[in-house]
Amino acid sequence: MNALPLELTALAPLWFVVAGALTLLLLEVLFHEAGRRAAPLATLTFLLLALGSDFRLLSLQGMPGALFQGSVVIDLYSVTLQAICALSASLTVLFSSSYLKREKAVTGEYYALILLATAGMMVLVSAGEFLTLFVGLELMSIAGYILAGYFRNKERSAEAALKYFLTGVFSSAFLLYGIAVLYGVSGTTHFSELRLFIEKGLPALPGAASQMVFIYLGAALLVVGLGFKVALAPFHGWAPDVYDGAAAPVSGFLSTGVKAAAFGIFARLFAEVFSMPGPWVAALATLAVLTMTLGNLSALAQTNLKRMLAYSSVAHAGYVAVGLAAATGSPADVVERAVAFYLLAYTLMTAGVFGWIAWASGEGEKNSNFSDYQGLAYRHPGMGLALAVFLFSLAGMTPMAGFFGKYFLFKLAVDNGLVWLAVVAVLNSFVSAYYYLRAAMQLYVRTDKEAKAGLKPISWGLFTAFFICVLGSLIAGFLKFPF
Amino acid sequence: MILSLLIGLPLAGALLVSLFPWEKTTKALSFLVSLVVFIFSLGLYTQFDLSNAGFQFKEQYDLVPALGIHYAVGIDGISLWLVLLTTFLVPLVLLGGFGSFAQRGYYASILLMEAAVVGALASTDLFLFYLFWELMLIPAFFLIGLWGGENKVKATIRFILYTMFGSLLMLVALLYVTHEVKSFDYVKIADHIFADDAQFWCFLAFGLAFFIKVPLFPLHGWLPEAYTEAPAGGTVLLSAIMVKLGAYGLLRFCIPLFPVAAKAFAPWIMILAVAGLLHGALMATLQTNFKKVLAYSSLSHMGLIVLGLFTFSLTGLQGGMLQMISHGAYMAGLFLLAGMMVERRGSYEMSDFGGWARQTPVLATAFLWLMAAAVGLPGFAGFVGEILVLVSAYQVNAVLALISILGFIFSAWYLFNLYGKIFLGPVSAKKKTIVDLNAREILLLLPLLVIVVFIGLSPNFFLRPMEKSLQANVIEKLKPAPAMTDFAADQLRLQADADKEKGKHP
Repeated sequence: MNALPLELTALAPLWFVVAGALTLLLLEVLFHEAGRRAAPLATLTFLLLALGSDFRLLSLQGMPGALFQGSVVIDLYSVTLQAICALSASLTVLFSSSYLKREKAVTGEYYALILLATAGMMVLVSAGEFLTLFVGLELMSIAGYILAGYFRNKERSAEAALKYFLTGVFSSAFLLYGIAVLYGVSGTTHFSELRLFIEKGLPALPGAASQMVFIYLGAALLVVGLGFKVALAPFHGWAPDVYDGAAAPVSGFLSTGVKAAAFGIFARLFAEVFSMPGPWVAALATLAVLTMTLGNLSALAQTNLKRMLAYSSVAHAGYVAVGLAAATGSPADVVERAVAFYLLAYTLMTAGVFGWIAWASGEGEKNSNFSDYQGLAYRHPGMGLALAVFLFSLAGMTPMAGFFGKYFLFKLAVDNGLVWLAVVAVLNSFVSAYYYLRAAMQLYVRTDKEAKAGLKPISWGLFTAFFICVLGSLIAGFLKFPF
Repeated sequence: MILSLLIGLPLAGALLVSLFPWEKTTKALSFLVSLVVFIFSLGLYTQFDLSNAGFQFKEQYDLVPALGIHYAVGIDGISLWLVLLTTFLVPLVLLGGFGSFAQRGYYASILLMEAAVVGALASTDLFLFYLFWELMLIPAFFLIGLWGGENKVKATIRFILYTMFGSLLMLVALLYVTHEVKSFDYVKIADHIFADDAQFWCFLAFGLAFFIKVPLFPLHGWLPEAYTEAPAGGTVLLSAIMVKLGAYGLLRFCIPLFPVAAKAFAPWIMILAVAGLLHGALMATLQTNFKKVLAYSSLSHMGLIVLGLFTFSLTGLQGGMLQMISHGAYMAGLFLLAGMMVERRGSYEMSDFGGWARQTPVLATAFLWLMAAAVGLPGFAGFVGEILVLVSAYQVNAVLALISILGFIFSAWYLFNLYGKIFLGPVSAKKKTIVDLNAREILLLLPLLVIVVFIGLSPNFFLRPMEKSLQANVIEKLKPAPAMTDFAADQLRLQADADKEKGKHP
């Protein structure tokens, strides 16, 4: 069998996204204004092609598996995550197009950056070894830094970009150290070989116990590096400011697609490589508890919807970390299914909320305090219901996708004897329910204030995006999952 | 098929009502849907096999095959009456809202609530049960949050948080239970015998969810505000239907799944039940807002139901179940009347009323009629349930039974006091012509007035279908494993037989 066509077809989603990024860069140069206007549609086309080829791959009998000497792994898990990233990017494009028009900041490179970041995510989630992982992560992150500071004239946006950049490179260094240490001990950068080494090779070596310390050190550095990217406490300091400071659609992208990709590979590492009992169970459980608790308690105090979501998005990273802590002892596919489903649910509801904020906060995002949208549901019943659905789903109320997501993760914890962790997690969900419901309640508070003028009617693009998010949040739990 | 229809029709109806382009027809449409559901639900009674103690009308389809979660429904004698109560009350609630509510969301929420309640009652898969159980919160959120009174924000958040707190801990216990048994099937789980300490924690976790819903004293903090702030229809759904699911949960899950823990906790729970009974009664006497009086009296009467369930005797269980049905009927009637009165008067303060018996004789008669059922006058619904519970409670703990009688004396006092202030005496100073009940209102009250007498006069009609299921699904589970303690098992069986004899001749 000829290897080349398979490697072309199996990575088709990635090729489409890369081709799209390059096309978009050219589009504006060649066609100026017309190219700029066509940018969202062109981006969407390439993303839909990528999504389509992901779905084609999912429908195949038998996955290609490891390609390029094992540096890329195309299996059900990575293709599902690719699709989630492409979905997140598509939603971001839909939300951005009217947002950028309103803010008078339409450019072609914005969309090219989204596609580049998506390409990075796709490489990241399909990585089968550490260097591919790093390349994907950096491509995704660099595009992300620029997106966070896209409104460079706004102080908060610039601040967000700088913070994001500084902590980002800092965490990359940790990650690289971790990779170096693991390579130093095992002599490999491949996930599967590393796992074999830890299980079989290492115990046979003289002084195995002291060698094991380096494995622990490497894993710890990886946790710190990836922990920064997904904003696990205590490495989450940057997240609220960045999600709050960046433009709402970008925040949505950073907290869904970027986070999903980083968590995707994080989960693969702990489900497939470090899946034997080890100190990482306690470490991840501790991080999970810290992240959930700090995120939720900080979110409680917020009176601004966007900032509240910034903190709640930290808390949600904690829920995923519950699943990671429980990855030991569960079959890899069970862990990966739980994490992938959660990321899908989280993407749908969080992208929806940030899109909602982008719409409702008005020009310059001036009105995102709770008091600004009091009684909004009486003027825009459909949009009010949409936000209520997203918030219910985030709070984990049935039968929303967010509930199923939490259910699968907490089930992992209980199945692996971490009942206490599940209890902490549900108590955190309880705290989060308070601030989500309080936010949802604002929609239905009758005020004497005059209706805020200037809320533009929903365009078709926005309608489609909200429709996908609402419908997805409602029914995702009942869909047949690819694996 | 019939159970799926009872869940699916209201669900489809809710969707249809919320998407239907003509808002004016949504009232009629929603009422029609609920009426069809009620007619279908009668099939449950006519086709119910009295000799079968297990689940009937079973259906099962895959829901999440990877985890073994099924859409599995079925009802037994325990859930039969609660399903029928729900399908019976919902059309009346919808009809009751015609006067005050025009928005489609109101009607859609009520239908969604019906689907969730019937779904929770009919689920024989634990995951499915949890889905429906939590789904109830969403329509409740909208009913109180959108159409509630002045303090609706606080009332909604408090109500949802209280119930979610219990449910979330139940979720962990549910995860544990299904992990132990490796199945979500209720029948399999009920046959599993859990270790004693696991039973202890699971009973508490499941129990918390149900005790908050019932609510058991001192977990009732959500109740007064939620009942008072909700619109009349919402209060009916909460007090007549939703809190019954708490009691149902105790009967279905807490007691049979964790019998050792249930027996260990029973004395304490009975004390709390009586404490709630008295607390509710005392608080009811202190209120000036008559909807609050009704809210506290509802709380007080729920204490009696829990007392009955935790006697673990057939008489007590039957009494508790019968009391659930009667409480559902008379509380629904009283809260619907409260809604009609506030439509006429614009206030719940008793001082704003007075002398209504002369202005609105029909309304006054209906109120008195339902009050008689609530107070427990012989011949009316409340009486039989109360007697059955008190008799069986007396055998377990005579002091508690005697104390709880105090609650009924109070109950008569505050309800007649309420009647006096509103319907007797001089006509209120702010004079305004008050119209009597119209045809729609009489039509919707009539079934309730009939049913409270019917329950009172022929309780066996209701008791017979539940007897076998209570015996097999609850009492049998409470017996210790026979190989271990033959003597104790015999004692229990003799006791149960004796109870059964008494149960037949209340």
